[in-house]
Amino acid sequence: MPEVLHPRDAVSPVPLTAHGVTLRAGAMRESVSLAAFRGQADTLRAFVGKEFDVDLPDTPRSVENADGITFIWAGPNQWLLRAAPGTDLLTRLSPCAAFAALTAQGDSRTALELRGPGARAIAAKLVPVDLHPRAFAAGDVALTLAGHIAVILRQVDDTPCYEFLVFRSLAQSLHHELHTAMLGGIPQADRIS
Amino acid sequence: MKLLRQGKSSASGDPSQSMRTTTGNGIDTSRTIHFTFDGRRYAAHPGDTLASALLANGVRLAGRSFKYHRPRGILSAGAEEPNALVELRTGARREPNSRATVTELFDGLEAASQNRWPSLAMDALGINGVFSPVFTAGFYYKTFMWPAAFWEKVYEPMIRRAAGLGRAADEADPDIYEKATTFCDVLVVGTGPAGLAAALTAGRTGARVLVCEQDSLPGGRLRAEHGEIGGMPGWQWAEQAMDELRQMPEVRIMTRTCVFGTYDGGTYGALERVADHVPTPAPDQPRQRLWRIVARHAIVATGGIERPIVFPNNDRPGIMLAGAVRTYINRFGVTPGQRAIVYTNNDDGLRTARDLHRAGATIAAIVDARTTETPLARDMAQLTGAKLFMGGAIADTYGRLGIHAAVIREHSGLTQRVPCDLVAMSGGWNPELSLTTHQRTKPVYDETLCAFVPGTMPAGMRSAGVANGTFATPDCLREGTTCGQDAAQACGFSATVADLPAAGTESYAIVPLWHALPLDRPARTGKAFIDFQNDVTAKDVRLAAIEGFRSVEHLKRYTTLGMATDQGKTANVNALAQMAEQTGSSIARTGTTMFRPPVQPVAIGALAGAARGRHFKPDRLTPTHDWATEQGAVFTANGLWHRAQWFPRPGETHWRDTVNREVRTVRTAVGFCDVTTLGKIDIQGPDAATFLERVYVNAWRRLPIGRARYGLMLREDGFAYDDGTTARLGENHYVMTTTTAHAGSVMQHLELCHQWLWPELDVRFISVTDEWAQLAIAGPKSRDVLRHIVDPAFDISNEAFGYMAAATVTICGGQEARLFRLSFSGELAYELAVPARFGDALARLLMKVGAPYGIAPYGTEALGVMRIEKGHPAGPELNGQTTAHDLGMGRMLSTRKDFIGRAMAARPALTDPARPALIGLVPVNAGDELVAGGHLLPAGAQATAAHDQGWVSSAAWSPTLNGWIALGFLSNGPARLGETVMVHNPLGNSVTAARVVSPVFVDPNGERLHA
Repeated sequence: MPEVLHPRDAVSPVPLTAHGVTLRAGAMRESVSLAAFRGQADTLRAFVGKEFDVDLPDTPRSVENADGITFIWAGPNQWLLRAAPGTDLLTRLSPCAAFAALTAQGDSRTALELRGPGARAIAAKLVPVDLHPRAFAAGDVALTLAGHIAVILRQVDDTPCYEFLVFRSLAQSLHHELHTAMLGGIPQADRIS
Repeated sequence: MKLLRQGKSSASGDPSQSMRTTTGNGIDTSRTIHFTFDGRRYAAHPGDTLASALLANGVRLAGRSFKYHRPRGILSAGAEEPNALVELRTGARREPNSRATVTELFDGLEAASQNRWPSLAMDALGINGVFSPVFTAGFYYKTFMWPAAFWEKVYEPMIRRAAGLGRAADEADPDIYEKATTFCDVLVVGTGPAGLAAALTAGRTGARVLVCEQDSLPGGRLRAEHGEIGGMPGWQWAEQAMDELRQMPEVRIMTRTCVFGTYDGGTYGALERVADHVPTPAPDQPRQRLWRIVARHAIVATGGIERPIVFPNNDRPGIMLAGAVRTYINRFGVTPGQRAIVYTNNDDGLRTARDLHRAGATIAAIVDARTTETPLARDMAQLTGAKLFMGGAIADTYGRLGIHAAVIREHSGLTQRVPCDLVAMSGGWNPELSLTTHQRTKPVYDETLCAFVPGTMPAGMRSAGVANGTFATPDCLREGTTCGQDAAQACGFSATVADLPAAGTESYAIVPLWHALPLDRPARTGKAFIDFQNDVTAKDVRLAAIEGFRSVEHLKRYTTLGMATDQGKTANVNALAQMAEQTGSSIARTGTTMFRPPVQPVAIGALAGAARGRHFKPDRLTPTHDWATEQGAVFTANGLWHRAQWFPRPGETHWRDTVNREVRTVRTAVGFCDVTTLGKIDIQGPDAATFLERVYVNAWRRLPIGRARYGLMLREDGFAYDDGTTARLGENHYVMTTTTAHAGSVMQHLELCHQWLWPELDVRFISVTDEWAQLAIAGPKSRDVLRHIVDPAFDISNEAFGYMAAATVTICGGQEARLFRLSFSGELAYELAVPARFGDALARLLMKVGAPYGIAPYGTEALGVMRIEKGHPAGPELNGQTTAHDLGMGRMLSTRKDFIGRAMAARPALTDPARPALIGLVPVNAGDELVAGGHLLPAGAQATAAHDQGWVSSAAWSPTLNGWIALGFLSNGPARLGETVMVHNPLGNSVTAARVVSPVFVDPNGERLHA
């Protein structure tokens, strides 16, 4: 009888709440990086369109198909696909191995979610990105730094909720930094009186 | 405004505030709070600054000057204050050099004067003033030249003690700070009439407007003056404007926020004082917040700073800026003196007489430097009953701890002594244009205004109001409106301009006045201060000019003018004008005043934000970190990574006991180590092999699928850069490993090579360092242990899976994993990679199934000992100064292809056989310790640089050889095996004889690797 390997979370799954903002580690997702080989972006696009019924975005944003698979722009001709466990993304994508590099990234990145009316103000303590609704909306993506830590930032919905995709080894540090930012409160801009 | 006569009970009913003669628009007289200054308790009102509260209580003496220890009072009512610097709070929160004029008072504040001993009123070092002839310009340069040895031991401690600017807290700052970024279309700095008009106009368009006000209250000078806007007191109009702004959803107002710097591309730095105005911040509340503001357009409406007038003994307590006097009266209800002289060169200063008179003070004299009487001067003299001295000057003052008389010099030259306790002086206003010069755009001199005004502006910036040299309130409102409109329109918002509120036009009519007395007057030699904080006088500027320091930059450095914490806000233009006068040149030709950020001091804590203590950088944790912690591992930092250094067991009293045991375990049984930290880069594409050929020195085309190979990379300059193994997993699929230290930079290097050097190559990279938990399992029993883990379908026998094999396998009944037969230790060894989430479980499983084989985890220290025993180079050998030849890898350099660094590696100096090359060392006398860093000398040679032949790069106690061993680089080393050299360790002052041996101490023929 072979031994069973039990997975371990990169950060505690217990949500933390302060000032109406909740920080939570996202559930484990399958994740695959898709990078088109030279001159093959259109072929890849066509394949993904047919297989997943979705248009790969050309700008820093993400789209979700009917099956709940998220396609995140991750650089020129490069995307990060995230899906529920059991989707078996690599198998579904295997036909495009001829025209794109496929790399498993499910364990590489940990998702940390910041949700609540003040999430924008808290996120602004870490990321130097304009998150105002006029500039950054649900589905938008930024490859940026949260403090000193590289992240893929994505606005999930208009609560607002932001997802920070961070390298697993740095997840605890980012978790700490987000929590510290939350404890510092929502900047009360107007302090007159 | 209710007028209260001096001497009667004040608005608060608290008799101690004897100078609180009226109510003020910025204080709440319904409540009384208390504070202490130098241990004495005083009353005040919410809304007071420490300065206004001291003045309310009749305290005029606030500090001692930096160099001469002269008694000093409160000069200003704002951020420009050079004199009233105090220590606030106590213990860990003690904060020196706080400007009393911008310190918001709270109940229980403890403040203390500084730079005095034993007390403020009786300062022993006040004697410095007597010796002042020697403390002139360039004093330090002239005095402390020699002997050199005296500098550190005598001069510096002496100067530091004498010139102390308060005491920093002895304990760590208990408060927290944070940083944030915000964006806007239009940034408005300042909420005087111009700033508010700009904000209202831009805000009404729907543009995103950010309004920053460094004060706690809006209004700027409107709070300090008596005028009306729109039929109401100016300060009320300001509050009404703020109310309107607050209703606008896209307008954000930040008070207590100083915009301190203009940076590239429309980025501004701002400091929000979140909790400076309360005794202690709320739990978890930051005390200050540093903002990075990114604005498409910025409107600088920062107002102006009044200039003092330069006259002999112009620094006594009770001599204040005229505008500050009006601020204390109108905003704080405090009359800073009962018998005042107003001294001015402009109409604005004259209005001080009116406000003082209304507050009940006697105006002893109005001294107006202008020779022609203006209607306002005549009116003011009539209104206040003061004697008017047109063309007059103040020639001297009296009063040791506070002014009690001034010598007025009439236009005719006659002098008379006039008793007074207050001089309100105005030399005119300088636009506060610091923010406009941070991008090195120069201001220009305006002869009419006698001031510098913004010249060319940085892109996206405008200035409005006094900051732009526009003085009258209606003009400020109009200019602010236009700026707000233009900025909003530039951001794509259409603006309709509302009617401007009515406001009175104030006259200014300034004439230049850079020294009270004519150039040829002997009395000019008296101490007429220009820079109050650094004690620089008119005489110092004159001396600098005589000695040839005519450039403004030289003047500054020679006299220390403008180099104090106030950056010479009240001093620079006066000094520049003095220099122009001395050299017979115009002000415009003499130079200009430029500023660097920050406009006001910013605490280092705020710049650090949350990144302090152990969180000053992020931590990278390996997948087995929690497990290793449970095992009691001692961790070491490797870049950002935390790695287990060793795993102590009970009974082990020294770390070396632990490391020796770990090494012996691997050499005789089996051990395992987390090597996840090594960089792992997934490389795919039809041109992947071609790419590897170009970045590595050795050949890659013939590497079969399922095999790994050691590779060495050079830098462009031909020196060794990084090494590691790369495995071929598929036809066009490789996984490269790098050293832990260079993981990030190798990735950048590959991207650079691909994007810039060979964009035609079809290859893609992505980091998989975090994707896989990779554990090295090493030792003669390692295969036996793996047989319990790797699924039986995979044959891992030596025949099927030999040295340098690589394969995708399954473990534990189907879990995908990667197995590599690699060895850093020199033993039979594997590296097993599992998805990172299973790294912890794999470590636990290895402990369990390996127990019968005597398995133990080992840390980086044992790893290091074993790689030295095996002669593998690591960081100390790949130090950026060694070549492939030096490392004994010269033969790896392919001659059949091009690769990065090939041409430069062929330079004669890099191929010289006499270069120090890798060798092993053992002590001649068993038991002698070898120390890394030691220099290698020929036997019997003097320990001089001329005899230096190399160095020891790594040294370790080898439990396998039971003695010290070392790796090093020795000139012509490989040809000198068997020779004895001396290892000179200058730090330990030791010389050890060592024998040169092969760098491979263990299993030189590699039999174990292939077992």
